[in-house]
Amino acid sequence: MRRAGAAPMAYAGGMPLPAHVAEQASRWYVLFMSGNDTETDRREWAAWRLADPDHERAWAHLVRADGRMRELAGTPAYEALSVDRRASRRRALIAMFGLVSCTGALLWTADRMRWLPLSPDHAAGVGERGEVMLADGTRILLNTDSAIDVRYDGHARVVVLRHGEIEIVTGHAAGYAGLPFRVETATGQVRALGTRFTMRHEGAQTRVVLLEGHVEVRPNAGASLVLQPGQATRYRAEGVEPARAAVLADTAWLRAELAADDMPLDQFMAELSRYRPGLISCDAPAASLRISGLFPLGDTDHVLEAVARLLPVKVTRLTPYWVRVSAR
Amino acid sequence: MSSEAAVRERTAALYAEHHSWLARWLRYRTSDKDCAADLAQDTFLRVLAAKETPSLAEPRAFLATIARRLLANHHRRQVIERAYLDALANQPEALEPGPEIRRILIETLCAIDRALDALPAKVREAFLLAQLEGMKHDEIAQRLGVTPRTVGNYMVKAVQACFFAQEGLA
Repeated sequence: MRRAGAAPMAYAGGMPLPAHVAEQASRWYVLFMSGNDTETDRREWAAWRLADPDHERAWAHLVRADGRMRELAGTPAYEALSVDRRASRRRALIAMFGLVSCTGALLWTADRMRWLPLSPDHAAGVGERGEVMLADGTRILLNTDSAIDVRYDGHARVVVLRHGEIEIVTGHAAGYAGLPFRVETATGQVRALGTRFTMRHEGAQTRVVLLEGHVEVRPNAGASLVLQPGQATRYRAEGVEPARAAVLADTAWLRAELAADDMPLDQFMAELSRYRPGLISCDAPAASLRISGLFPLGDTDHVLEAVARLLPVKVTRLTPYWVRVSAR
Repeated sequence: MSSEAAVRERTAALYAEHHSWLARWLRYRTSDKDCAADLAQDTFLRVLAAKETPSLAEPRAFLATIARRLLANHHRRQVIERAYLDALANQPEALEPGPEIRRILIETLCAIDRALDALPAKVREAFLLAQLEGMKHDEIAQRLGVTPRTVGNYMVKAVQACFFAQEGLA
């Protein structure tokens, strides 16, 4: 269903965006993807992002959309989207024919409804936290940039971790206690019984930390693993790692802190950037420095200042969204 | 009366008068009885979700319009789902996402499919090769028989259509 005659409208996060901004953002994105960008390009790009809040919004949206695309990447998705379209096109034409007598407003309305089911049930944005209480008394804490879906039915309680990091305290409300509880990710699932645990989705792998009770970690392939309280592990589609003892860094986020124990600075900055929009880049000499400490996440600018005091580095803000850390 | 209450009331009236007609209309067009019932339900949900219902001179044409669209999406989704699961089964690694994750992935695939729907075949192909198969612009240029510069232009067009679509990925 196309809005014939009108310029294609653009949206970022369901909100309208001027079409020329979407085009500019797309040009930058394609340039960076091609790998042909120069130092001058990157400077111009930074200036472009700063020039207008819409530019920054468009860019942040592109980065998120790109992330969703990465989750999907691979030959199966390519083949699914390359299946013959002729049969569907014929149906679309029939549908169009039926539309001739309808008003423009109606078309738009029907069109707008289509994106609704795609948004997650619960989400926390970058730098935000969220708490969800479910029907069975289960409490879920969402860390920064996290999203989940909740699927409860008569057979099971399923939470889908789309991305990010969560803490789960399972509930025992009457009528639910007997139903199995599990959290699914693309690469496996974690089954829980009366328990408190955290999960963090990190690309192809998921980290699980058990605080109380018992969980069983079941990757898509390979043996499953039962964790004891105080243990942590990671799993991928093809298997689960042996259990290790949980460390402070695994759970510091629950108290809104970032814990580092002799952590390489680039890894520390990658962690910190989860909590603020935009980009933090480290030059190579700075990246290999090591940092230790407990840092409150309430104000990430303060953390950057603290790092500049603790280590021989310079923190430069190219834009509010792009911070560069270089060795002094 | 608030406009939302008004829409609810009008939808209820529409439902009472035309639901069984729509269910029959849909059953005639799909072989699956349950699916027809679901689509009839979805059609009314969409009427309800649209905050403003125009006063309808032709209520059945209105409902059929929405139902046709849902039907086309439903068929397309089945085609994509089947192709995706087939391709998944042919993968060497043990990649078997759980049913809920699979549902989300297939929804995302369908959203991309619709966003790319109006683009020329080569633009679409260039985008999919770059994004999903990780091919470089030069390789895509060779495969499609165009210049790398054209591939760049294709990509900008497709990124704009796909990532900034109303029902976008993020």
